[in-house]
Amino acid sequence: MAEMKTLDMETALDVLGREAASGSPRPGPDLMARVLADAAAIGAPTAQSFKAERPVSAPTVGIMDRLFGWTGGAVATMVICFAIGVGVGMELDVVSLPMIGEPPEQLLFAESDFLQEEAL
Amino acid sequence: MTTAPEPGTVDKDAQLLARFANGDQGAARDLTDQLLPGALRQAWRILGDQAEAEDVAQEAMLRLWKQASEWRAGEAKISTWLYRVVHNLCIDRIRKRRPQVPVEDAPEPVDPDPGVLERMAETETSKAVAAAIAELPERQRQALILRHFEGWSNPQIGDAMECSVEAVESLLARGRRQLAKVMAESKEALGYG
Repeated sequence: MAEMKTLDMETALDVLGREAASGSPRPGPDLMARVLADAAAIGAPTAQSFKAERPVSAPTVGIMDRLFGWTGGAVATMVICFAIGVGVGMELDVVSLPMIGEPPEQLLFAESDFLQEEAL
Repeated sequence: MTTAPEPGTVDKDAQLLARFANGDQGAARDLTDQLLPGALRQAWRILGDQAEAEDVAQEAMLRLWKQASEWRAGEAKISTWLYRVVHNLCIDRIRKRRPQVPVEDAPEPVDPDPGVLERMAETETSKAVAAAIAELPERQRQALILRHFEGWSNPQIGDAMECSVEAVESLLARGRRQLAKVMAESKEALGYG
Protein backbone atom coordinates (compact mmCIF):
# COMPACT_ATOMS: atom_id res chain seq x y z
CA MET A 1 0.00 0.00 0.00
CA ALA A 2 2.83 2.34 0.93
CA GLU A 3 4.63 1.46 -2.33
CA MET A 4 1.48 2.23 -4.29
CA LYS A 5 1.19 5.61 -2.57
CA THR A 6 4.83 6.40 -3.36
CA LEU A 7 4.26 5.38 -6.97
CA ASP A 8 1.19 7.61 -7.21
CA MET A 9 3.15 10.44 -5.68
CA GLU A 10 5.89 9.95 -8.25
CA THR A 11 3.31 10.21 -11.04
CA ALA A 12 1.77 13.29 -9.46
CA LEU A 13 5.20 14.88 -9.20
CA ASP A 14 5.94 14.11 -12.84
CA VAL A 15 2.63 15.70 -13.86
CA LEU A 16 3.36 18.79 -11.80
CA GLY A 17 6.86 18.89 -13.27
CA ARG A 18 5.45 18.88 -16.81
CA GLU A 19 2.93 21.58 -15.94
CA ALA A 20 5.63 23.66 -14.28
CA ALA A 21 7.86 23.28 -17.31
CA SER A 22 5.11 24.42 -19.65
CA GLY A 23 4.25 27.34 -17.35
CA SER A 24 7.86 28.50 -16.86
CA PRO A 25 9.24 31.44 -18.83
CA ARG A 26 11.48 30.64 -21.76
CA PRO A 27 14.40 32.76 -22.83
CA GLY A 28 13.19 35.38 -25.28
CA PRO A 29 15.24 36.81 -28.17
CA ASP A 30 16.28 39.78 -26.03
CA LEU A 31 17.80 37.60 -23.32
CA MET A 32 19.43 35.35 -25.92
CA ALA A 33 20.96 38.42 -27.57
CA ARG A 34 22.27 39.74 -24.24
CA VAL A 35 23.86 36.40 -23.36
CA LEU A 36 25.42 36.01 -26.81
CA ALA A 37 26.72 39.59 -26.70
CA ASP A 38 28.44 38.75 -23.39
CA ALA A 39 29.90 35.65 -25.01
CA ALA A 40 31.18 37.71 -27.94
CA ALA A 41 32.71 40.30 -25.60
CA ILE A 42 34.47 37.60 -23.57
CA GLY A 43 35.37 35.48 -26.59
CA ALA A 44 37.13 38.23 -28.54
CA PRO A 45 39.88 38.95 -25.97
CA THR A 46 40.25 35.20 -25.43
CA ALA A 47 41.07 34.74 -29.12
CA GLN A 48 43.50 37.68 -29.05
CA SER A 49 45.26 36.41 -25.96
CA PHE A 50 45.50 32.99 -27.61
CA LYS A 51 47.28 34.63 -30.55
CA ALA A 52 49.57 36.54 -28.21
CA GLU A 53 50.51 33.35 -26.41
CA ARG A 54 51.76 31.70 -29.60
CA PRO A 55 55.57 31.28 -29.60
CA VAL A 56 57.14 34.34 -31.13
CA SER A 57 60.03 33.72 -33.55
CA ALA A 58 63.40 35.34 -32.90
CA PRO A 59 63.51 38.97 -34.01
CA THR A 60 64.85 39.28 -37.52
CA VAL A 61 67.77 41.60 -38.24
CA GLY A 62 67.36 43.75 -41.35
CA ILE A 63 70.06 44.59 -43.85
CA MET A 64 70.37 48.18 -42.57
CA ASP A 65 70.90 46.92 -39.06
CA ARG A 66 73.49 44.45 -40.27
CA LEU A 67 75.41 47.14 -42.20
CA PHE A 68 75.17 50.13 -39.93
CA GLY A 69 74.38 48.72 -36.54
CA TRP A 70 77.93 48.32 -35.30
CA THR A 71 79.24 51.47 -37.01
CA GLY A 72 76.54 53.55 -35.37
CA GLY A 73 77.63 52.22 -32.01
CA ALA A 74 81.27 52.92 -32.73
CA VAL A 75 80.56 56.50 -33.86
CA ALA A 76 78.47 57.11 -30.75
CA THR A 77 81.27 55.81 -28.53
CA MET A 78 83.80 58.08 -30.24
CA VAL A 79 81.55 61.12 -29.89
CA ILE A 80 81.02 60.40 -26.21
CA CYS A 81 84.76 59.99 -25.60
CA PHE A 82 85.47 63.22 -27.48
CA ALA A 83 82.88 65.08 -25.45
CA ILE A 84 84.35 63.75 -22.21
CA GLY A 85 87.79 64.82 -23.36
CA VAL A 86 86.67 68.36 -24.22
CA GLY A 87 84.80 68.62 -20.97
CA VAL A 88 87.80 67.53 -18.91
CA GLY A 89 90.07 69.86 -20.87
CA MET A 90 87.88 72.86 -20.28
CA GLU A 91 87.67 72.16 -16.60
CA LEU A 92 91.46 72.18 -16.16
CA ASP A 93 93.11 75.39 -14.83
CA VAL A 94 95.58 76.30 -17.55
CA VAL A 95 97.62 78.64 -15.30
CA SER A 96 98.26 75.86 -12.81
CA LEU A 97 100.25 73.94 -15.42
CA PRO A 98 103.89 74.99 -14.90
CA MET A 99 104.91 74.06 -18.43
CA ILE A 100 102.51 76.54 -19.95
CA GLY A 101 102.43 79.30 -17.29
CA GLU A 102 106.20 79.44 -16.69
CA PRO A 103 108.29 78.43 -19.69
CA PRO A 104 111.62 76.71 -18.95
CA GLU A 105 114.64 78.98 -18.75
CA GLN A 106 116.32 77.36 -21.78
CA LEU A 107 113.45 78.44 -23.92
CA LEU A 108 113.67 81.98 -22.55
CA PHE A 109 117.33 82.12 -23.35
CA ALA A 110 116.74 80.79 -26.81
CA GLU A 111 114.09 83.36 -27.33
CA SER A 112 116.37 86.21 -26.17
CA ASP A 113 119.17 85.01 -28.41
CA PHE A 114 116.83 84.93 -31.30
CA LEU A 115 115.70 88.49 -30.58
CA GLN A 116 119.23 89.68 -30.32
CA GLU A 117 120.07 88.19 -33.70
CA GLU A 118 117.02 89.87 -35.14
CA ALA A 119 118.21 93.20 -33.74
CA LEU A 120 121.57 92.85 -35.37
CA MET B 1 31.75 16.67 -3.70
CA THR B 2 32.07 16.59 -7.44
CA THR B 3 30.63 13.93 -9.68
CA ALA B 4 32.56 13.64 -12.88
CA PRO B 5 30.77 12.64 -16.07
CA GLU B 6 30.48 8.86 -16.35
CA PRO B 7 33.55 7.23 -17.90
CA GLY B 8 33.18 6.66 -21.61
CA THR B 9 30.45 9.25 -22.00
CA VAL B 10 31.15 12.37 -23.97
CA ASP B 11 30.29 15.57 -22.14
CA LYS B 12 28.91 17.58 -25.02
CA ASP B 13 28.67 20.78 -22.97
CA ALA B 14 32.35 20.56 -22.04
CA GLN B 15 33.28 20.07 -25.69
CA LEU B 16 31.23 23.10 -26.67
CA LEU B 17 32.83 25.16 -23.92
CA ALA B 18 36.30 24.14 -25.12
CA ARG B 19 35.35 25.20 -28.65
CA PHE B 20 34.10 28.53 -27.31
CA ALA B 21 37.39 29.02 -25.44
CA ASN B 22 39.13 28.62 -28.80
CA GLY B 23 37.06 31.44 -30.28
CA ASP B 24 34.10 29.50 -31.76
CA GLN B 25 31.06 31.75 -31.29
CA GLY B 26 28.78 29.07 -32.79
CA ALA B 27 29.58 26.92 -29.77
CA ALA B 28 28.44 29.77 -27.52
CA ARG B 29 25.09 29.78 -29.29
CA ASP B 30 24.70 26.01 -28.92
CA LEU B 31 25.62 26.18 -25.23
CA THR B 32 23.16 29.02 -24.68
CA ASP B 33 20.38 27.01 -26.35
CA GLN B 34 21.29 24.07 -24.16
CA LEU B 35 21.74 25.70 -20.75
CA LEU B 36 19.94 29.03 -20.63
CA PRO B 37 16.34 27.68 -20.42
CA GLY B 38 17.17 25.57 -17.36
CA ALA B 39 19.03 28.42 -15.66
CA LEU B 40 16.12 30.78 -16.28
CA ARG B 41 13.57 28.22 -15.05
CA GLN B 42 15.55 27.60 -11.87
CA ALA B 43 16.00 31.31 -11.14
CA TRP B 44 12.33 31.98 -11.77
CA ARG B 45 11.25 29.19 -9.42
CA ILE B 46 13.37 30.68 -6.66
CA LEU B 47 12.79 34.39 -7.23
CA GLY B 48 9.28 34.39 -8.72
CA ASP B 49 10.09 37.43 -10.84
CA GLN B 50 10.86 37.07 -14.52
CA ALA B 51 13.03 40.20 -14.96
CA GLU B 52 15.17 39.28 -11.97
CA ALA B 53 15.37 35.67 -13.12
CA GLU B 54 16.58 36.82 -16.55
CA ASP B 55 19.29 38.98 -14.94
CA VAL B 56 20.45 36.05 -12.83
CA ALA B 57 20.47 33.66 -15.80
CA GLN B 58 22.49 36.17 -17.84
CA GLU B 59 24.97 36.69 -14.99
CA ALA B 60 25.38 32.93 -14.56
CA MET B 61 26.08 32.48 -18.27
CA LEU B 62 28.56 35.36 -18.15
CA ARG B 63 30.44 33.56 -15.38
CA LEU B 64 30.48 30.45 -17.56
CA TRP B 65 32.02 32.37 -20.47
CA LYS B 66 34.66 33.80 -18.15
CA GLN B 67 35.39 30.32 -16.81
CA ALA B 68 35.71 28.77 -20.28
CA SER B 69 39.46 29.06 -20.75
CA GLU B 70 40.13 27.60 -17.29
CA TRP B 71 37.48 24.86 -17.38
CA ARG B 72 38.93 21.43 -16.66
CA ALA B 73 36.91 18.90 -18.61
CA GLY B 74 36.03 15.67 -16.83
CA GLU B 75 35.97 17.13 -13.32
CA ALA B 76 32.35 18.30 -13.17
CA LYS B 77 29.33 18.66 -15.38
CA ILE B 78 28.69 22.16 -16.61
CA SER B 79 24.94 21.92 -15.96
CA THR B 80 25.46 21.15 -12.28
CA TRP B 81 28.12 23.87 -11.94
CA LEU B 82 25.69 26.33 -13.51
CA TYR B 83 22.93 25.18 -11.15
CA ARG B 84 25.08 26.06 -8.14
CA VAL B 85 25.98 29.46 -9.61
CA VAL B 86 22.32 30.28 -10.25
CA HIS B 87 21.36 29.11 -6.77
CA ASN B 88 24.01 31.30 -5.14
CA LEU B 89 23.10 34.33 -7.24
CA CYS B 90 19.46 33.89 -6.24
CA ILE B 91 20.43 33.70 -2.56
CA ASP B 92 22.34 36.98 -2.95
CA ARG B 93 19.30 38.61 -4.59
CA ILE B 94 16.93 37.48 -1.86
CA ARG B 95 19.29 38.76 0.82
CA LYS B 96 19.51 42.13 -0.92
CA ARG B 97 15.72 42.36 -0.94
CA ARG B 98 15.78 42.50 2.86
CA PRO B 99 18.57 44.92 3.68
CA GLN B 100 17.38 45.37 7.25
CA VAL B 101 18.18 41.73 8.06
CA PRO B 102 21.89 41.01 8.67
CA VAL B 103 23.29 38.63 6.03
CA GLU B 104 24.13 35.94 8.58
CA ASP B 105 20.57 36.03 9.95
CA ALA B 106 18.85 35.90 6.56
CA PRO B 107 17.02 32.60 6.09
CA GLU B 108 18.14 30.18 3.42
CA PRO B 109 15.85 30.79 0.43
CA VAL B 110 13.55 27.98 -0.50
CA ASP B 111 13.65 26.28 -3.89
CA PRO B 112 11.08 26.66 -5.24
CA ASP B 113 9.08 29.60 -4.03
CA PRO B 114 5.81 27.80 -3.16
CA GLY B 115 3.75 30.59 -4.64
CA VAL B 116 5.48 30.23 -7.96
CA LEU B 117 4.91 26.47 -8.04
CA GLU B 118 1.24 26.80 -7.26
CA ARG B 119 0.86 29.42 -9.99
CA MET B 120 2.40 26.99 -12.46
CA ALA B 121 0.16 24.08 -11.45
CA GLU B 122 -2.80 23.59 -13.78
CA THR B 123 -4.90 20.91 -12.11
CA GLU B 124 -6.25 20.77 -8.59
CA THR B 125 -4.11 17.74 -7.82
CA SER B 126 -1.01 19.55 -9.01
CA LYS B 127 -1.88 22.59 -6.92
CA ALA B 128 -2.24 20.33 -3.88
CA VAL B 129 1.11 18.68 -4.64
CA ALA B 130 2.73 22.10 -5.06
CA ALA B 131 1.33 23.21 -1.72
CA ALA B 132 2.57 19.99 -0.13
CA ILE B 133 6.04 20.51 -1.62
CA ALA B 134 6.15 23.86 0.15
CA GLU B 135 5.82 22.02 3.46
CA LEU B 136 8.88 19.85 2.86
CA PRO B 137 12.32 20.49 4.35
CA GLU B 138 14.48 22.47 1.96
CA ARG B 139 16.88 19.65 0.97
CA GLN B 140 14.07 17.18 0.23
CA ARG B 141 12.25 19.80 -1.81
CA GLN B 142 15.38 20.63 -3.79
CA ALA B 143 16.07 16.96 -4.58
CA LEU B 144 12.49 16.33 -5.69
CA ILE B 145 12.47 19.42 -7.90
CA LEU B 146 15.69 18.44 -9.66
CA ARG B 147 14.50 14.85 -10.14
CA HIS B 148 10.96 15.48 -11.32
CA PHE B 149 11.10 19.00 -12.77
CA GLU B 150 14.53 19.01 -14.35
CA GLY B 151 14.76 15.27 -15.01
CA TRP B 152 18.27 15.00 -13.54
CA SER B 153 19.89 11.72 -12.59
CA ASN B 154 20.75 11.01 -8.97
CA PRO B 155 24.52 11.50 -9.49
CA GLN B 156 23.81 14.88 -11.07
CA ILE B 157 21.61 15.88 -8.14
CA GLY B 158 24.30 14.74 -5.73
CA ASP B 159 26.84 16.86 -7.58
CA ALA B 160 24.61 19.93 -7.50
CA MET B 161 23.66 19.49 -3.86
CA GLU B 162 27.15 18.39 -2.83
CA CYS B 163 26.13 15.07 -1.32
CA SER B 164 26.44 11.37 -2.18
CA VAL B 165 24.10 9.45 -4.48
CA GLU B 166 22.91 7.43 -1.48
CA ALA B 167 22.03 10.65 0.32
CA VAL B 168 20.06 11.80 -2.74
CA GLU B 169 18.13 8.52 -2.84
CA SER B 170 17.35 8.92 0.83
CA LEU B 171 16.21 12.53 0.36
CA LEU B 172 13.95 11.53 -2.55
CA ALA B 173 12.40 8.60 -0.68
CA ARG B 174 11.76 10.64 2.46
CA GLY B 175 10.42 13.52 0.38
CA ARG B 176 7.92 11.33 -1.45
CA ARG B 177 6.77 9.68 1.76
CA GLN B 178 6.37 13.07 3.42
CA LEU B 179 4.44 14.39 0.41
CA ALA B 180 2.09 11.43 0.45
CA LYS B 181 1.50 11.98 4.15
CA VAL B 182 0.84 15.73 3.75
CA MET B 183 -1.49 15.06 0.81
CA ALA B 184 -3.42 12.43 2.74
CA GLU B 185 -3.81 14.79 5.70
CA SER B 186 -5.00 17.64 3.50
CA LYS B 187 -7.49 15.34 1.78
CA GLU B 188 -8.91 14.32 5.13
CA ALA B 189 -9.00 17.92 6.32
CA LEU B 190 -10.80 19.07 3.18
CA GLY B 191 -13.12 16.10 3.25
CA TYR B 192 -12.38 14.64 -0.16
CA GLY B 193 -10.51 11.56 -1.44
